[in-house]
Order: sequence, then structure tokens, then C-alpha cells
Amino acid sequence: MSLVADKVTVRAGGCSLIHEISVEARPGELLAIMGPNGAGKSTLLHAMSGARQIAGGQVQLEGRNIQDWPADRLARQRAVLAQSVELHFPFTVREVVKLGRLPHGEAHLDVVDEAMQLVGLTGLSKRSYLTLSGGERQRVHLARALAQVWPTQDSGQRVLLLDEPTNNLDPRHQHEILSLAKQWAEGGAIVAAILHDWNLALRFADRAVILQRGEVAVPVQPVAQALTPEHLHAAFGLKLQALRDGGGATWITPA
Amino acid sequence: MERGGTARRRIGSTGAEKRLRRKIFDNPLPTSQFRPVDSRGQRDLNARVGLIVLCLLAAALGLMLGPTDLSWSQIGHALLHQADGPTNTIIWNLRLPRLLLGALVGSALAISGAALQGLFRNPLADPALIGVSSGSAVGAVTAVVLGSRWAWPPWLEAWLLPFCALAGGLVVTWLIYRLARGSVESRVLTLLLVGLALNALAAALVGMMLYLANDAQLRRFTFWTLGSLEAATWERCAALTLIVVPGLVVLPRMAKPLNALLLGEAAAYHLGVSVESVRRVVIFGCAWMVAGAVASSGMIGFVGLVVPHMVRLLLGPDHRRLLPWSAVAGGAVLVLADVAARIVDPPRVLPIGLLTALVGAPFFLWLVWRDQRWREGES
Repeated sequence: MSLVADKVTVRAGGCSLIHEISVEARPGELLAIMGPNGAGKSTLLHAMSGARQIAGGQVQLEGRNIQDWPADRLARQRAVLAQSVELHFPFTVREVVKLGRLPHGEAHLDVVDEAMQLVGLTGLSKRSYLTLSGGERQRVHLARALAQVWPTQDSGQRVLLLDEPTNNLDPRHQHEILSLAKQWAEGGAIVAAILHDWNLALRFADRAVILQRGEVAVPVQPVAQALTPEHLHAAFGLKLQALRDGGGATWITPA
Repeated sequence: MERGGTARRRIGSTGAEKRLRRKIFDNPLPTSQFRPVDSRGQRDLNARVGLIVLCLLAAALGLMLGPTDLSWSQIGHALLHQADGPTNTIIWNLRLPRLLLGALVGSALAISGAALQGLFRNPLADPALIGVSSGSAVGAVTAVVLGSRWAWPPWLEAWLLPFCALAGGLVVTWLIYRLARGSVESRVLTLLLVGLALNALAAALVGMMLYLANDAQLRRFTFWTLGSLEAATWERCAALTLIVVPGLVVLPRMAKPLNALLLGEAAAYHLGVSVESVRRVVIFGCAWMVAGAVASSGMIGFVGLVVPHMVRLLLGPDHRRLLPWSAVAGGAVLVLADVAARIVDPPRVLPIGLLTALVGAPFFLWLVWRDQRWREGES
């Protein structure tokens, strides 16, 4: 029932953006996708969402090639939070979140308010989207993604793909959003998130993969083994050390 | 897509989720201190009533005013064929078909403008972007200049220009769509660039025809580009009804996908919208209606640009409201513009495209200026 990328290659303009990447995202787990800028993280995420044409290999959801899923059926189970969304029309916050229910017709519209409540947007529901700050906009789109794959009795395997969900957020909201993502994973969803902060990843993710120059540098493994100072040094070229706090948690900081 | 039982597992049903909910509700996140805007409900209702009043006003003035002003009772009698001969003729042969033609043309231009602005995610987009107006101009000028080289039966000659304009608009739109098909990423940008090139090419073709034209042809084409409802006949109304009504039925069905498309193509795909088919339906639906409108009344600018804006200010950007109400408002606005064109300099009639541009261009400037201020306030 996992979301599997099997030797996926994506090409654009004659060069391959990612080359034979294999990643498995399992239900019940939060998978962190890490790597330096230009490593192909977003490309991989878009290939896994079905939005990106794949030149080689394939992505499977529930054992079926994701390119063979009808777009509307896939949209009832898989939601994506993009890195940036440009919306220039004065929708209210609630109207934007409600767009997440588009694949479901008129069913379960009360989910819209619950999703807004979950990300702390209730007081903003009638505000124009154009008047929001960057962090508030980010939360609006997260609420939209959550509303899209909100658990209902007839939903199949739910998939939540997050491209830098902590963008523009203050530290408190970064923690809120990632604990939310983790709770959704624990509720049975497949959750994959592109993250830059390895300490947040260590704290919230179950497993992690590190990409570098379009290839897998460190294959998917439990987060404590994937995100070691050595692996991160190899990927980011930054000298790092691991510190342990009183509670036994590991923190990675520049040495 | 409600299937099976409706009892659903709520998100708060696992222990961990309950803890999270408690954490959030016991300790609500600070939200900005802005007062929420009052419900749209009352404003919406006022706006709709206002637009309907505008329609009734347009219809009444369209029948009353002109070279000969008619009174209410004259109009009432004429509608029942009980007035004197000339009044009956004015109402039934001149003003009613003209009213209907104006309403159809205005609706077609406005709803197409609204749909294309959504598709291109740009509130300043206009039907000219997909090449339909310049294609129609090529068709029209060809009919005017080359059509007179052969002898046509009179009944066919009347339809030659509209037919060529319709065909020209559709052909150029189809070319733009085909040539933009290759690229996968940022299709909209490719469409805009291809449109730019083909619009320039069409302008060159028009210029070439004008080079070949004699003075009478030149004058006829120039007046065609200024737009006019002078040629309103019941036959023309019937033909345009057959063109516009399918568009008025199909385009509003694209409202929800267009709403999703405002978030971008990838986001729309993620919401289950098959972007390519929506794009095809909207582009060709709009081309069909605009080409029909241009064929029957010449080039009438700014209605497709300004009316959707006006409606968006009143009713918000949701295409489920925007598309149908743009059609309503567009019809009313064009009829009113035609009334104004008739009473400015009687008994002569000002070209209606001239009037819409005279009023529309300053309004457009005001929109750009307002938009600019909005953006500065935003950052």
C-alpha cells in the first residue's frame, strides 16, 4: 500500500533532473526528503505526485502506476502542498481552503472549517487571501491540502506530499505543522515532506533520504541513521557535529 | 461522490490526534487582529439586484431612445402590433433585433473575457490574446477586398463578411493552440508568445489587404473595425443565437476547474482537474463566441476586459458567480452603449466600438492604477 518510486528518471531540456531514484514512502510514517538546493527534491516529489512526466522507471501507488490513475480519482486520495502558489485573485481564506474539496463534489463540506481550525486559521476565514502574510498563506494552502485528503469512511490510502511545508513559518508554526504532519502519518496516511532543517527532521520524521545532484546519496533509512554528521557533511559540504541534550535527543550543529 | 455510509472517521479519533486537537484548542494560535469582513451575503444580493435592474433599464432605454423617441404606451402598443405602421416597424424591425443582437454580442464578449482571464490567471487578459479578433479582422478584410472581385448572389453577399470573419477567428485561434502544444511546462506562457507572433502576422496580412484595397473598401473595413449594431436583422440574431447559446451553456460548466486553475496548473492537476481538456474547452468555446460576435457586429473592444472586472468587484472572483453574471452584465452594458451611440449625434449613429473604447480605456487605466496601489499596500 506504499507510494513507491522505482528507479525514477525525469528529464528536462536534454539533461536528467533526477536519475534512477528509488524511494518508498510507507503508510504510518513521515518520510523526510533532504538534500542541498538543486538536488532534485521537488522534481522527485512532483514525479511521486503524478504531476511530472517520467522518462524512466515508475511510481506506484497501491501497486498501480501513478500515471494510470485518473486525475480526479487520484485527487481524492493524494494532496500536495507546493513550495509556492501564486494566486492573484481576491478569494477569501475559506474559499481557497474549500477548493481542496473540489475532487469530492459537495460531500463533507464541514471538513473545510475543521481543516482551518487545525492549522489555526479560524479567525481569518473571511479575510481576503491577498491581504495575508507569507506564513498565513502557507497555512491556508496546508489547510487546503488537509481538507482534500481529510479522512472519511470512503477514502482509500491517503497521501500527503509537502514541499518545504515550513517555508515562511515562524518557529512555533514550524513545530505545529510538522507535528500535524506526523499525527497524520500516525493516523495511517503516507506523508513525505521536503525539509531543510535536519534538527526538525530528526525530531519529527521517521525515516529520511538524502539526495544529491539528482541521485540518492543516502538511501531511505531510519532518521537517526540517515542524518548523521558524516552523511550531511558529504551532502552539504558543511562541517557538523552531533550534540546530545539532557533528554537524550540528538542535535546537529556546525562544528 | 458520497458512497456507502456517511458516518466518517473524524480526524480526532485516534489518541494522538485527540492530544493534538486538545493542544491546539486549549492554546489557540494567535491570529491577526483584523476585524473579519462582513458576510458577503447582503452585498451579493444587492449586487445581483443591481445588475438585474441594469438589464431592465437597458432593455427599456433600448426600445425608447433613438432618432425617434417612443413613449411607454407607444412601445406597449407596438409590441402587441396595435400601434401605427411606422411605430410597429421601428419596434419590430429595428429596435427589437438591435436589442437582441446587442445583448447577445455583449454576453458573448463578457463571458469569454471572464473565462480567459481565469484560464490565463491574469485579470487583465482579453480575448485578443488567443488571436480571435485579429483572425476575424483578416477574414473580414479579405471578404471586403477580394470578395468584390467576383459576382455573388445578393443573399450570399450579405453573409460573406460574417462568415469569413468567423472562419478567420477560429482558424487563427486553432493555429495558436496547435503551435503552443509542444511544450509541457508553462503552457500559458508559450500560448501568450505564440499568440503575440500570430497577432503580428495577422496584422501584416490585414495591412497587405488594405494595400490592395480601393477607397470604398478601405472605408468599409475601417468602419467594420469600429464596430456597429447597424446590421441587426432577425436572421442575424438567429444565427448569432445558435452560436452564442451553446457557449453560454458550456462555459459556466468550467467554473469549478477554472477556480482551481487560479492556483496554477500543477495545483489544479493535484486537485484532479484535467488541465488540458479545460484549456481546450475554454479556448475554443471563447473563440467560437467571440468570433461569432465579431462577425455579426465588428470589433467591439473593452467589453470583454472591463465587464468581468466590474462583476468581480461586485461578486468576488468565484467563477460560478462570475461567468453567468458577466454574461448578464455584458449584455446590459453593450445595449446601453448602443443607446448612447444612437443619441449622441442624431440622426447619425456613432460606431459603438468607438464608444466602448472611449469609456473603457479610462476605466481600464483606473483598474491598473487601483491594482498597483493594492499591490503596494500588500507588500
